[in-house]
Amino acid sequence: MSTLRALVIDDSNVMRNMVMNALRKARLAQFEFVEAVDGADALTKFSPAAIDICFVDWNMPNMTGVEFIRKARARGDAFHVPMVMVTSEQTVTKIEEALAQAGADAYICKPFTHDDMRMKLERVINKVLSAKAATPTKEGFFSRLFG
Amino acid sequence: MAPLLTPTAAPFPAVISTAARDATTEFFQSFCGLQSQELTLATHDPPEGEIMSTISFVGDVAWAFSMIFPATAAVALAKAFAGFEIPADSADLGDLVGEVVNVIAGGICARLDRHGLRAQMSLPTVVRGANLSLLVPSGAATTRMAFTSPDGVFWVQLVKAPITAGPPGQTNT
Repeated sequence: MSTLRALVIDDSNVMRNMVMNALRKARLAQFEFVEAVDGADALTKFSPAAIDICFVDWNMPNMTGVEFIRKARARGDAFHVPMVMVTSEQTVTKIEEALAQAGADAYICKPFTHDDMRMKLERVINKVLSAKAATPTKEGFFSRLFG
Repeated sequence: MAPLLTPTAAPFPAVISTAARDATTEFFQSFCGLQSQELTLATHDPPEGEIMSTISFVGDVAWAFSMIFPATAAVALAKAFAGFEIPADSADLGDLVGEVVNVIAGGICARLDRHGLRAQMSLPTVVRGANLSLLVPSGAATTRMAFTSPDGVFWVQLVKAPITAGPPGQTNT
């Protein structure tokens, strides 16, 4: 199973651990986690080359999750990195704002179970895994060249 | 124990207290698997509050929502909600209680939204100490609910900001 590098952004240490535990239990992929405590911290740790998927809380000090997504998308080179909102905001207006306006790819309401994660993320994560598998690596290139 | 709150003349909006009651009950029963039951405060003194988290709301109504726990109940809640142990003296216990209030506040906003009431929530604040309760401004409407859980009684307090008079010549609408 491929390893995905996931950026988990939440101002709560407990919630970051809950997200990471649920993702491990969902068994959709293997993960290496990078943690950020708010949107501003996340921007310093995010780059499309180093991160495969982001899990983003909404309400955080310094910079909200939606602002982070807008800024990450505005880079212009990160459209392929899925942004998953994981938040207690659950009104239709908020969900539409995140998905339709800010550019989030999936929306998970707190509280969640690992089954919720599996159900809502299977399509998104399979897409990332397929893209990674299709991307030529240095090792794969030499393997094909020299057998 | 002396009452912590003096009765207020202004009634607390029933639509908000119902939303808070329902969201709290759903959280404990559906998401934590803890059987909670609302107590009649007239016959139960509030338990000693050692960890309190508060979220305030702005929108159609300005109000605040607090949950106040004894440490034993917060530790049990942590295990049920997070799925791992958090010791009573850990800073993470306050973090956990803040997240619980945040999640319940999200449920309250969704319920109010269905009634056409807009509510934008703040970040949670957490306080640890002894005999904690939310200070109620003069003239503010407030209400309290107590719930039993297998590991102790916790309570919820709601406070609605008083309507302040506008500048002379200006009327409130």
